[in-house]
Amino acid sequence: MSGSGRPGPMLEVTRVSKRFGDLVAVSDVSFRLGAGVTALLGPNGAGKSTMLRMLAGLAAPSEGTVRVLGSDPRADVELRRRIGLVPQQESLFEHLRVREFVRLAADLTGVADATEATERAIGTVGLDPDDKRRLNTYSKGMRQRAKLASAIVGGPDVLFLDEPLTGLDPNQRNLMIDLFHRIGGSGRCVLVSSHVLDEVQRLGTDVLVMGKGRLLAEGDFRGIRDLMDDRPSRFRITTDEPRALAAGLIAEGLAVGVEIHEPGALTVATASAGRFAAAIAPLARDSRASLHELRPLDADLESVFRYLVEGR
Amino acid sequence: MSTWAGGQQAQIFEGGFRPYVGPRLAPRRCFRSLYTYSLGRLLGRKRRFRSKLIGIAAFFVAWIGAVVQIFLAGLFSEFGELGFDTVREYYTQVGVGVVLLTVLATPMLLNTDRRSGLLSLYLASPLSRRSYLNAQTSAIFSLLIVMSLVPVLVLGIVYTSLGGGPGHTGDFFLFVLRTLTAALALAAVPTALAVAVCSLVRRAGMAIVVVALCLLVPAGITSLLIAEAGVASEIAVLDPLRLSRALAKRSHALPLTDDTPGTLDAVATWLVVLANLAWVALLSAVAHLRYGRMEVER
Repeated sequence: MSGSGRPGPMLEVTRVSKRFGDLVAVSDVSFRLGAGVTALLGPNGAGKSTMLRMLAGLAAPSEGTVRVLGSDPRADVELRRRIGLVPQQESLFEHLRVREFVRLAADLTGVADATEATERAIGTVGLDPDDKRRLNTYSKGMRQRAKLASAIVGGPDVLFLDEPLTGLDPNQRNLMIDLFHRIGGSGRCVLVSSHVLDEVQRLGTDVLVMGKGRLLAEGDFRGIRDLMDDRPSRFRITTDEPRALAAGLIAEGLAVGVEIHEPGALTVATASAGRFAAAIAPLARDSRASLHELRPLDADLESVFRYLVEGR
Repeated sequence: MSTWAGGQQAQIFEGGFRPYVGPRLAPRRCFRSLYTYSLGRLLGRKRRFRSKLIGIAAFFVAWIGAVVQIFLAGLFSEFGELGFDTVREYYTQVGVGVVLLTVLATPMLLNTDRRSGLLSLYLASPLSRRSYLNAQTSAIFSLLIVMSLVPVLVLGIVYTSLGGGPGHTGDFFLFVLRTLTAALALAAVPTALAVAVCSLVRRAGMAIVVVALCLLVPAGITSLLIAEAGVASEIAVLDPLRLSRALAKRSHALPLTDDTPGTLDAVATWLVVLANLAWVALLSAVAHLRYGRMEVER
């Protein structure tokens, strides 16, 4: 996946593996990302956090190369000014107030006008810069936002977020997702890890799916679904002539299975979703059936995830 | 409707996210930020009172004797005239403060960073592992220097002003120089030792125990070897605390008359200096090597 905002890829991971003794945390992973928001999806233990740590320059790959904006993030100290990281853990600077915490991050990234940048970043995530409470009294969602403010205060070109939506209420989650899209839309590369499908689905359509340390799929999840050709796609059709339409589908070889489970509705399993989509309207006309509804049943991310990660 | 700049009917200026596009400072400012912040952490700045206790206790132990001496010198003139000779031997008390701060504060700084995940935030900034470690070490080192330097210097100034100190300005500056050298000597090896141990041990509690053992146990072992097994007194250079104190003592050109087993009075000055440098170099290499290869787990 290479975004359109910049000429080359902003992240380039080539045949990267990471071992901890006998444990292979990441195995032979390659991908390229451009500007925009991409979700890094995978169950717990899939290697997402290890991958983000390698991208942020915190860990060295055992094999392969990681390039962020064309440089090695572990070796290029200057590059790290342009990287923002929201780590997963909670126990960060708990005795500090949000302003002090974000100010420290601004100072560490070398922001010249740290006061103004701090206020702006805190305001962007919807917190109060003058809040006198310490971070250890904050709710989980507020701490997540404080971490995000510390990551964006330096105006990074690349932002890595490790499970940033954990603990946020639905409203906050929507606001954060909206913010990620605005950051991604401004020509920056935003990589968000999550194991929650609902979150990822709302982050957008571009996904990297990891499982057991391997990159299982990349791209638009609907495109990934189309590539799952060993598994029939299922559609629900509502029509006034279900039997006639079912007969036509089977006769044309468009369906590998048809199920009429309620009056006026049938579920069709097809080996070729593209061919099916192109042929269903002419077939309905020929069968003198009116199509009331045509809905894919397993084109969602959950279906892709089940298929790739759980093998079902 | 009016037509605004660019011929458009309307423009949105504020989209909720405005990235920082201003100038950026040199990486040494990041180093300075971490150094300043770590100094504050060591002293418990902006933290609960219990976090300040380590610093308060260490400075209290190191400085209380000097405060009492100054008080007595102010009250009784004979203290003012006789006291200057005791100034250069004040380092035993300072040494206790140095041990307290080194043992308790260094692990709270370095090991807590690793366990809490702060290290990942620091290393995701324009700080290399080397500059991170240097900033943290500098914070500990400079605090120990202040702890060692201030009481001796203040005592020297007080006694000099009361007529018991050096008669010439040049002699006084020599005293200041010797005091500074002694403070550096007293702080260098304990700092390097504590940082090296903290780089090797993961948990802060365990690091506290190991640093304490490394600072305190060699004194007993080397004394025993010299007294009971007849080993040469040079082996006392393996005792980091005694070694740093021996250099502090020699910085003030104090007479080397102590023949107690394990003391370094019988050992040549060049060997004491060399041993101090070797300890610092070895321990610094261990810490840098360890941090260079350290996996940031959180």
